[in-house]
This record gives sequence, structure tokens and C-alpha cells, in this order.
Amino acid sequence: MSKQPKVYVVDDDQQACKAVLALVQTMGLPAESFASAEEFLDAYDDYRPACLVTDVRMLGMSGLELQERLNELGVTISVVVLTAFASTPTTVRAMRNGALTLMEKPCDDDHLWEAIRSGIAADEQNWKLEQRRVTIKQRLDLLTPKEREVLEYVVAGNANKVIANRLDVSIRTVENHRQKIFQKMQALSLAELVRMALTVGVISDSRNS
Amino acid sequence: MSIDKSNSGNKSANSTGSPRTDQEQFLNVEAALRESEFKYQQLKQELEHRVADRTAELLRSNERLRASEARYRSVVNCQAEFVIRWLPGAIFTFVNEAFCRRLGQTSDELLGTCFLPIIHPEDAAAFQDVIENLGHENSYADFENRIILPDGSFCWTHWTNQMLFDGGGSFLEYQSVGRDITELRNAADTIREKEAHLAHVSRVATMGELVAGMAHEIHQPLHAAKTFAEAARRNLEMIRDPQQSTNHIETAIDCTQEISSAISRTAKIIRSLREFTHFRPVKFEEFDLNHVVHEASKLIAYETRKAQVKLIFNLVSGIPVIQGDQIQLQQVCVNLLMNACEAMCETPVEERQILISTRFDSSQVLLAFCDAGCGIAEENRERLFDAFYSTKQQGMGMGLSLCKSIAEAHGGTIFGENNEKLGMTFVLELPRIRRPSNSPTMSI
Repeated sequence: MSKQPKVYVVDDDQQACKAVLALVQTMGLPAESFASAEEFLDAYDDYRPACLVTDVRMLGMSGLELQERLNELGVTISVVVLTAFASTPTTVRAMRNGALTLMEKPCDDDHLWEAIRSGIAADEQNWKLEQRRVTIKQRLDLLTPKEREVLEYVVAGNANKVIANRLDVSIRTVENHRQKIFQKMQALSLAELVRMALTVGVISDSRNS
Repeated sequence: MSIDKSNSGNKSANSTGSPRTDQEQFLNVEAALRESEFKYQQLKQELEHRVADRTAELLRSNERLRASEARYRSVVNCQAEFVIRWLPGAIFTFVNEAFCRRLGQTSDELLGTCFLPIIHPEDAAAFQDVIENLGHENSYADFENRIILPDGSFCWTHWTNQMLFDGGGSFLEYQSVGRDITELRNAADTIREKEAHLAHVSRVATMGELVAGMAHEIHQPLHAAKTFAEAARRNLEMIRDPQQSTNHIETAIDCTQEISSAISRTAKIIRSLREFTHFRPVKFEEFDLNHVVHEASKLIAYETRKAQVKLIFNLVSGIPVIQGDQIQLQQVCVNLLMNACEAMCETPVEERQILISTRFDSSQVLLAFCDAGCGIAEENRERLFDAFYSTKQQGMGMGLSLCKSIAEAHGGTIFGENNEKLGMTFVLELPRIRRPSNSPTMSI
């Protein structure tokens, strides 16, 4: 059951905030607005999935600084950057900070609507992925160091015989570890186990035969 | 007279005569008579000489007096200055030729008439004020007013009005000495016009610096309007769902109202821009200084935001209206605010603020800008308001010098001082409007 996405609007222009809220309302989604980056940082409670629409030039922290602060905090929500005066350095910095897009005010027809929509879609997907990563990591933590070692050999494509050879144990022991790994990782096939390992980055070249 | 004298001579001769011969007697009398006659002639000549001398002296003295009178009269009449004397009620008792010439009337036509009708109506009340304030203590007063000439045009005149008293201190009459200052005034007007041009050029230059910020300020409401328009369109499309239609119509209506207000906001910004850069002759009108401060702060809203400067308003309520050119004073505010923002670029962000305050007393209205910037080095303070003097790399050195000339054109002053701790404060002092006295009737 997926949670309802939420839109956050940060702009020190009250009317601009209100306008974006009205637009988001047509999507049937909840939205909140903040007059400054600081206010948003104070209020944001890691809600996901979400899309942040922020202005660049504001009194106090700028929209670009807000992006950088969120990156430091490990917050990965989609960010749509709006600016009334787009310069190349601003655009480059916004995109490098991971903005989904940067748009110039006033935006063309339904471009803002589309941007928010795709921002939400992207964040829903990212959030699912992150959740999956968390689940896999939790399962990984259940493995013993030995099982973890065997897992690395297995996903690197080694046969039981090779693994037994490398670890200097019997094939039978490797088979037992393998069974435990599949059980703890809740994997139904080798292919699924490999996908999980890829998701959390448990692939090591040194384990290749 | 001579008979009378001879008779008395006879009598005395008779009365004192002793008995002598007739011949002797006769000879004696004749001799005495001759002697008397001679003395008489001597005395008569002496008298005539004296009379002639006195007459000649009198004539000479009269001549001197006449020459002196003519000299003074010619001094009074031949000079270019106007000299008039008058009684309460503004009745001429004396007018010199220069004044008659300017008015194109003879002194006979003017003497005994009242001069109030030739004073320009706009100056009449102030003139009454000045005259009413004359007295024993301050018997002189300078005043400038316009005089209406017979052809309907007017000339500007400067007068020194004086109350004259006799030896005992009783009031005799008024004397006014004046001159035509129309050309002086015209020259001053030309200077003002040139200053207005300079102010305009400077405003255009300022606008050049502000234009990027203004573009941002205009894009903001335009962005809001476009976004509301998009929201309205989407709401209207959703009306097809019959169960939700009322809500969507309401929302769409709200959106259109927002669009309208955003467009008004855009128009307002554009209008203020135009007013600020548009050249127009200096226009003196009555206005509220607080309003000018707000307008100026709106023009530089983006600049203050960019510089992360907080504006704190401490504007006194019930501020008396002042008289002047709103746009020029707005320019003073913009210049001072922009300087303050620039001065604070090294100041920590949380301390960047400008306190804008107004206050007033019985004679003037004050506007102060207090920043937390770098202030001014003591050795540069003297030159703060000099033209072409600037401590900024890009500065033309026109901003503050222009502020000063604008302040002075408004009869006010401007000065800047370092604060005790941080930054500096600029104070603009402008005179309150001098209302004519309350009594509408004339007492002169």
C-alpha cells in the first residue's frame, strides 16, 4: 500500500507559493508552503514520497543552499528549482546538486504541472527502491560472517565446488550455508538473490573465479 | 523818519541853549545839525550793508539747501532700487522714480493708493505675516514676492521692509526698499532645471543597476499569474465530473481573482519603474514622507533581498505632509538604501539591517537611515557629499552629491555620521510647510 505523495513549496513570494499550491491541488495531492528554506528545514519530517518546489533567490538560505543541505542530511526527495533569473552557473549548480529540473519563472503553460508530476513519480520510485534497499540490508544483517562470504562467492557466479575449494571446506558445508542464505534473504531463485545483491551493492570482483 | 530825528534834534538844542546871540545860536545849531546828518548817513549806510550781507548769506544758504535736497532726491530717484514709504493699510506715501518706471505709472497716480492688489495673490498671505511680525524689537524684515505689472505679467521682487519710529518711539510709517530679482529667479530656475536633468540621468543610471532585480520582481507575479491560470484551466476541465463541479468552479473563480491581483502587482511595478525613470520637470506637491520611503524600498526590494539585508521600519504615524518632488526624494531614499546595502557586504548576514525611521518636530521632518556597514573613514568624511568623489571602485561619485542638492532644493539638509558601534547613519532634514497665520483678516 503506497503512501500519498506530498508537495512542498518554498518561495519567499507569498503569491507565488499560493499559485503553486493551487496547481498542486488540481492533482488532488496535499501541499505545504514555506516562506524560507530555514522554515522548511525546521518543519520537514522526512515524509516520502515527496517533491520539493523551491525558488533560488530568497532572503536567508538560497534554494541552491537548501539542496546542498538536504544532500548533506541524506534527504533524496525530488527537487524542482524555479528561478526568475536563470544564469548558467545557477543552472549548473542546481543540476549538479541533483535537481530534477530547473525552470524559469514564469513557467510555460503546463510545464510546472508536468515537472511536479514527474518529480512525484520519480520520488515514488526512488522511495520504493530505498525501502527495498533497507529491507535487503536488514536481511543481510541476519547472515553470519561466513554466510556473507559464501553469498559473495555465490552471486559472483562460482559453483559450490569452487567455493568449497576456495574456503577449504566440504561441498556439503557450502550447500548448508547456501540453504541458510536463501532462507534468510527470502530469495526464491539464484536470479533473485543476485538482483538483491546488486541493489545493495554486494558484488565483489575479488570473489570472481 | 528823518524829519522825526531832526525835530528831536531841534528840541534838544532849544532846551539846552543858553542866552547867546541869534547868529551864534544859528551857527551852533547848523553845525550840530550837520554833524547829526553825517552820523545819520553813516548809520544808514552801515545798516544797508548789513542787510545786504544777511540777504546774500541767506541766498547762499538757500542755494546750498536746494543743492542738497536735489542731491538726495536724485540719489533716491536715479537709483535702480525701489524705494517706497507707506502707511498701515498699504497706502503709498512716497514712491521713487525707479518704482514708478517699473510699474509704468507716475507718482501722482500711485500716491494715496493701496498696493495690496498688485501683490501676487499667492504671496499676499505670507506678506501679511511678515508685516504683522514687525515691531519695535525687529523692525526689519526681508521678503520676496511677485508684483503684478499693468500688462498682467509679474516680476519677482526682493524687499527689505522697515518700520520707522520718531525720536519718542512712536510709529511713523513703513519704508520698503526693493529690487527686481526676476532675472536672478530665472537663473535659479535654469539651474533647477539642469539639476532636474542631472537627477534624471542619475535615476536612469541607478535603474541600470536595478534592472536585473526589477526583472525578477516582475517575473514573480507573472509566474504566479501563469501558474494560477494553469490551475484554473485544470479546475475547469475537471467540471466534467458532475459530483465535483461546484468545488472546481469555486476554485477556478478564486484562481482568476489571484490572476487579476498578480497582474495589478506587475502593472504597479512597471508604473513605479516608469515614474522613477521618466523625465519630468520638478513638481512641488504635498505628500507623506512615509509613503515615499515605502515606494523606494519596493524599488530596491530585490537588491535588499540579494544583499540579504533586513529593512526595519520605524515610521512615525501622523507625520506632517511636506512639500517637494516625490520622485526626487524617492531617489534620495534609493541612493541611501543602495549605499547602505553595499556598505554591509562584509557584515555578517545576521547583522545586516537598515533601520529606517521618521520623526518630526515643530519646524522639520526627519528621515534617518541607520546601517550596520563599514561606515566612513574619518579622513573621507569631509568629502562625503562632494561630486565626483567616491570610495567605491565603480562609483561615479554622483549619488550623495545629488542627494545633497536635492535636499537643499527642498530647503533641507542631509548629513552622515558614523555610528558609535557599527555602520553609519544618514539623516535627511526637511522643513515643515509654513502655513500662513490663522487670522484671515489683514491688520496692516
